[in-house]
This record gives sequence, structure tokens and C-alpha cells, in this order.
Amino acid sequence: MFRGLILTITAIVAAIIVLVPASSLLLETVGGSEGMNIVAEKMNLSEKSVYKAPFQDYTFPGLGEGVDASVVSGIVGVFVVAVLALALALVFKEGRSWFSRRA
Amino acid sequence: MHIPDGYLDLRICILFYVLSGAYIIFSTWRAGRLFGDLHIPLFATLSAFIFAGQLLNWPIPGGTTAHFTGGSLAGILLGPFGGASAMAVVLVVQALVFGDGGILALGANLWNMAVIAPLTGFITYVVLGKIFGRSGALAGAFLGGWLGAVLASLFAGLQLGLSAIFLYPITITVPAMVFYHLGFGLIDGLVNIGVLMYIMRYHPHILEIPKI
Repeated sequence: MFRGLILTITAIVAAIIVLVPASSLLLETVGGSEGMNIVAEKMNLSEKSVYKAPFQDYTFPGLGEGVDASVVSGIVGVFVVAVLALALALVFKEGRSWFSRRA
Repeated sequence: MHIPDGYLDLRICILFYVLSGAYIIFSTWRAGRLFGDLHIPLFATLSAFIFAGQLLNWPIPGGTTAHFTGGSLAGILLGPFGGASAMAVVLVVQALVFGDGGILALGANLWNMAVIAPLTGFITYVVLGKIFGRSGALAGAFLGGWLGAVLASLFAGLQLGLSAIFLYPITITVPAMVFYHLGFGLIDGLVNIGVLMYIMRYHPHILEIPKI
């Protein structure tokens, strides 16, 4: 059941290693900002963070803010999301089985 | 698309925490009742895929960038409630671990990307698929991707316009947000078609998994 999951996560990690530097390079060359940021800038809105995340803005401790930091933090994120989603889905299913056994 | 902290006043933040919280709790409860063996790997794979897709910002003509948002794809493959749960995992990790999207604005971001986008993708995919078959399903996936992103940006514009932090009314914020996403939404539409064609060809059983 989980063979497909492992293969897909491996493919996603490989894609991050290739595509994150590619998109960063394109952004550096062409330039550009996200639509939300452009609208916010036009309306004089400024971000006021109330919380500092451990990998704030896809940086990575020791690697700074470069492309390599984005790649590593992206891979960390993929694993965190996959493990959390897997755990949640298993809790859904196993929790139901546990409750039905008790009933 | 992710609204950071500082853009929305506390009133709007609380309102959307309540609305999104109720929807996500109901979605999680429903997923808890209906998830089967096949949902588990799909739920995890799709969440990781959407997270990775959102990492990639591509420059587009006009000085802006765009990225895949994925909410509509989650709705197409898992259903409006299963999709909402998958998007909630992605958005909560982005906010808590990477500071992508505000903590106070998380309720608003969940509403736009985990509630509206999956619901839109699911409806267009199912309706057009029922009427026109396989080609209708593909058209529905494209339309759902585009419309999901546009409607999510419309809600983001409403939230910004109703916020008392700045003086621009919704008559300015909504068109401004929607204008940029009329083009960006095409990315979601195209990715949806690509993923769906791949699944139809190589893993058609995924489309048989009950939508939740």
C-alpha cells in the first residue's frame, strides 16, 4: 500500500533538488514578486510577524538564506507534511477501529 | 496567496478562525469516519505534492510570480472534506514551521485555500465529468483549478478590504486580487489536467477511491 507513497515522495524530493534552484535562477534573472505582495505594496501594507518559525521563509540554520537552504528546508517540509498527513490518516482509521472494538 | 500577519485586523482573523475551524473540524470528523486503506497513502502523497508545488515560484511576464496552489486538486482527488483536511495539513505546516502565511491570518488562509478551492475543484470536476465523461472531467479539473484560485483570491480581497487596518474598500482590494489571479489560476488548471491525465493513464484506480 505504501510503495507508491515512498516512490512519489522520492520523486518529489528529486524534483525539489532540480526545480527549486531552477525557479530561483529564473526569478533572479527575470525578477518578479507574488501578486499578494504587489497588491500589499500598492496599498502600503506591511507585514507584522507575531511568531518566528524555526525555518522562517524557507531558510535553514547553518545554511542561511541561499538556494541550498531553500532546497534543504523544502525537503524537510515535504517529510514533515508527509509524516504528519500519514499519522493523521492512520489515526483516523485506527481510531475508528479502536472505537468500534470498544463498542 | 498566503496572507501574512499585519494585513488583517483581529475581528477578521477571529471570524475566519471560527468559520474555517468549524469546516476543518467537520472535515476531519468526516474523514475519520470514512477513510479507508486507499485514502491513507493518497492523503499523505497529495499533501506532500501540494507542499512541494507551492515551493516553486515561477516568474511570469509583467513582473509577477505565480505558483501552484493545489486546493482544487485536493478536492478533485479526495473530495471537498478530505481535500480540506489535506490542505489544512499543508497550510498549518507552512505557517508553523516556515512562517509562510501568518499565524493570526491562518483562519483566513485556510478559508481561501483549504475550504473554497477544494470545494470549487470538486464541484466542477464532478459536474462536468458526469455530463461529458472523461473529457468533461479533464475540462472540470482545468476549470476547477482556475476558478478555485480566482475565488480564493476574491475571498482574500474581501478579507483585506473588510479589514480595518487600512482604508482601501473591497471595491479596490477585490478587483486588485482577482486581476492578478485570473492569470495565475491557469497554473492550477494546467497542473490539474497534467496530474489527472497521468492518473487516468497509469493509476486509474485512484479515481475510484471514494471522495469524502
